[in-house]
Amino acid sequence: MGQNLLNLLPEELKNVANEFSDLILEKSLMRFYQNLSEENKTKMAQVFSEGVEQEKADFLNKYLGDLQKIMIEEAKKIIAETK
Amino acid sequence: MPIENPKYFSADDTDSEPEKNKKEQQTSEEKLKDEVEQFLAEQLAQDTEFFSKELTPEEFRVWQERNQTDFIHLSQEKQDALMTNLGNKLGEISKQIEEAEKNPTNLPKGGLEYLRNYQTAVRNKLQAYHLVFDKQEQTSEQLNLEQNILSIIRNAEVVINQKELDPKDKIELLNDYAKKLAKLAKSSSEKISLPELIKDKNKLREFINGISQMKEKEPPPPEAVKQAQEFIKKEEKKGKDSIFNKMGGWGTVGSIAAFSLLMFLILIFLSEFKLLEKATGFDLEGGGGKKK
Repeated sequence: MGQNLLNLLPEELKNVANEFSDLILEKSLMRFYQNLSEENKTKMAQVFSEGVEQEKADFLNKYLGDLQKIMIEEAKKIIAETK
Repeated sequence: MPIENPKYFSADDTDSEPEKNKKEQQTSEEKLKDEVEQFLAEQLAQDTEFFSKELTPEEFRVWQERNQTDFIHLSQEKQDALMTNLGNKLGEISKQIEEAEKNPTNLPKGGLEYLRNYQTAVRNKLQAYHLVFDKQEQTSEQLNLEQNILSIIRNAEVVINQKELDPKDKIELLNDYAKKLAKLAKSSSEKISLPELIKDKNKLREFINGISQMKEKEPPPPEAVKQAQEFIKKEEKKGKDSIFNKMGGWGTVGSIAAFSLLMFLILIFLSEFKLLEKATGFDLEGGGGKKK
């Protein structure tokens, strides 16, 4: 869906859309990671380096709490910081 | 009984002009909320009964059109209030149903079924109202591009600020709005070129540079985060074949990458096109609410 959305954008906005969404995702995942217990951080590293896709999806579904809220906050911060 | 003679009030009892305006505004907002609440209470009581029966497509169509006709004649203020109220109701009823399913014995016989019919009524009403905007958009040749964008952003703003709205419903609605924004942005290259729409071209350049600088300044994320990010993006690209989709569609995780794009689309329009502030007083930096 995200790629379809990107294709709908005019050329001049495609790259910036990609970079911006990457940055939001990265910053949000970082906040999520920092909130994990040490034990779950180790588990995450293990699942994402050795696990199969289902295990990765299960881990995210289980531990990603209110990531959408974090993403909105991060997006607003980025906009504010770049002004 | 209204007091007609102002001499009974001392100067201290009299509100200053801004105070008075503020109170009047609050009273009018409260009045609107009450009016909407009462309107919906009556309507939803009937609709809940209506949706408790097996309906033919024709019956549903007639119901939907009647609702849309009522809605379209309301002021923008009332339309916003109705949609916000319905969105909140949808969130509340979902929670109640969840609770009721956990403790079914707390409810009288048929109580859970009533709640589900009520939920259907709320959801269908909200959907019917959203479709009004779609129709308006389809027949909006006479409206200019700016009004179209504003109308979509206004709806998106209502959805974003609805704390009680189910995340799944929220993403689906935002997804629709983002697609519409993207289509408008694309079609604008034919009607009006995009740079013309951006009020201050340097701002966009600064924004792009700002993002690059921010990326350079950030310490590299841990490997697990990078891998999770790649995994989400890879799965997202698969669309229907994504593992998240197989796990139940628009779940918490399934649309994260897409959601970040939605945020981009909505926020870029808000901040760079400077349209929303002009028309609605939307205060992005102040947390997304409307300026008082």
